[in-house]
Amino acid sequence: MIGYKNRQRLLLCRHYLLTAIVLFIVGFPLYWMVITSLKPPGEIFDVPPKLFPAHPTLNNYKELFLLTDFARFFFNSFKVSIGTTIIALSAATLGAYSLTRFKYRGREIFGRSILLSYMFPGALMVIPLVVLLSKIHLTNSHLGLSLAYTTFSLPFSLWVLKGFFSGIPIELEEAAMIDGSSRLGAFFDVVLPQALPGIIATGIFTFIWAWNEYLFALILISDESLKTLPPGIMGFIDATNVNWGLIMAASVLITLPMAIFFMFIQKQLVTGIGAGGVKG
Amino acid sequence: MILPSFILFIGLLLYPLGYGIYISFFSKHLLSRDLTFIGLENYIWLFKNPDFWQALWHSILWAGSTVSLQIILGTAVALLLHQSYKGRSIARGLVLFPYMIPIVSVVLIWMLMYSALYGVINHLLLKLGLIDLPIAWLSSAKSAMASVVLVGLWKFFPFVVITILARLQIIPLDLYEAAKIDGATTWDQFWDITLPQLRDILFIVVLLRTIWMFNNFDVIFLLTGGGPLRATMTLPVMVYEQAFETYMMGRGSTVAVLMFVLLIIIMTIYFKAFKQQEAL
Repeated sequence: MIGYKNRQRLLLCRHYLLTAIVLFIVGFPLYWMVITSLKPPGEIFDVPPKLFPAHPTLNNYKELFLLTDFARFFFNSFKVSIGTTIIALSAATLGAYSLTRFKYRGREIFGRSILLSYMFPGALMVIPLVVLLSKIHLTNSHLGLSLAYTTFSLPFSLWVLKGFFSGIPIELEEAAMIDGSSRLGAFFDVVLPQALPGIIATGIFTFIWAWNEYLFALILISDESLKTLPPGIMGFIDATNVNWGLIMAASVLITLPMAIFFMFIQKQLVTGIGAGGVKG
Repeated sequence: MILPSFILFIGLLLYPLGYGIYISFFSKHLLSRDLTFIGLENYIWLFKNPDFWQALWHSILWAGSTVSLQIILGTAVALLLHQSYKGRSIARGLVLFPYMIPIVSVVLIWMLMYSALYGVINHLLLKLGLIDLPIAWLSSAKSAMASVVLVGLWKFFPFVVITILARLQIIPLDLYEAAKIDGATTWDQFWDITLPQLRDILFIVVLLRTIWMFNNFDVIFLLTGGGPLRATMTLPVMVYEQAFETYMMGRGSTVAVLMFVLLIIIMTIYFKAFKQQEAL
């Protein structure tokens, strides 16, 4: 018979062993990305592949900025993601507040169609959007791409923010209004500060989603100088001679902003994903 | 206040959706403005086309296998990370990484690792003696589907981990205390307490993941482009092929509309089956 203490210790060992396996599965591909980006060209094609670079170098990163359009793609991606976030948040903050505070016809149906729009295949939306946006000359435009992203980001933001707003007690605004503030005044002074953490989290999710998006960006932007990162980086691979070191350096840099955001919002992440957010 | 959201919703979601369905009854070239009404011809062409039925089968295979594997792995990892031991919060954070990083990075990392000539996966399997010759994972018809499924599993299982983990944390502990007093084993506790408590969240997670995997375009498109020889051609990739490679916007829309209809049918059956189960 094993003692209670020993059994606990055995159990703990098993937890650590299993966790190590899980982290290896999750972490190895990421490790491989970073390590390849630090290898000089000769070492990448080594057989057998080396787990550590013999002569680590930052040359791939240097080449990325000097020889490719990476910096421009990065700037474009940033611009589109910010634009998407602003459009979605400004419309959804007002919309979600209205959905939780006022009663009017069609409110329930609108609420339900928001959820239903999660089912819309991107592939179904992209064809009509291309046709419609080209009619109003918004293809090859960052504004057009941001608007196309609203098809996802708006329902998502509305849904998550609705949850946040309904958690704020209505008595707070009523008290402010009794004290003589207007409805709009109460919204800006009382409700908005309360909802700020939720709005920031929603904004970060929207940003990340727009940053990662590939299909719409591929189809709506054909002008090389306007391309965003995902189609831009995939373009590096078209060449007959694939420069993996360069490509992995680009992958590291496109992932980096996500990793940084991620550390900030790890807690909200649970709330956001729990609320049915973060489509993917 | 709801107005901005409402206008964007109509303009960017409902109107394009309707327009997409509308052009599925027309013949339209990507670059021309002409719309020719052809009734059900696109649908008839599609139903007679073996490529469509093959893509449908691949979609079901892809969604079915990735979702079930994600659920199994995700739930197992969530149960592990729910145990109390030092370092689990770091592990919880790290596990989410594949879900947050851009799809383009994920695809590029796996392409490099799958490579037949210098890929680390082949090297590892050769060393362990599991295979005699390197395998071209993504470009051989036999292994391509399994290879993309593995990437779909790796990228998206963290979603299951985080949602299940959030639910595990609110299961009342006294349920387990009571069971222990009654002499229930760990296994009994899992079947009689944990699993029933997780039922509702599992229902939603399976729903969302099925919708999203079924609609997923970029993992397969970027890894194999639907090849080799259509071995990984799913419906979303076929939409792209029809609309943006052969420029038949009408036919592309038809595939997308059928996808959407199919999704609605699957979801209706799913809801019905679940409700019936509840009645028992």
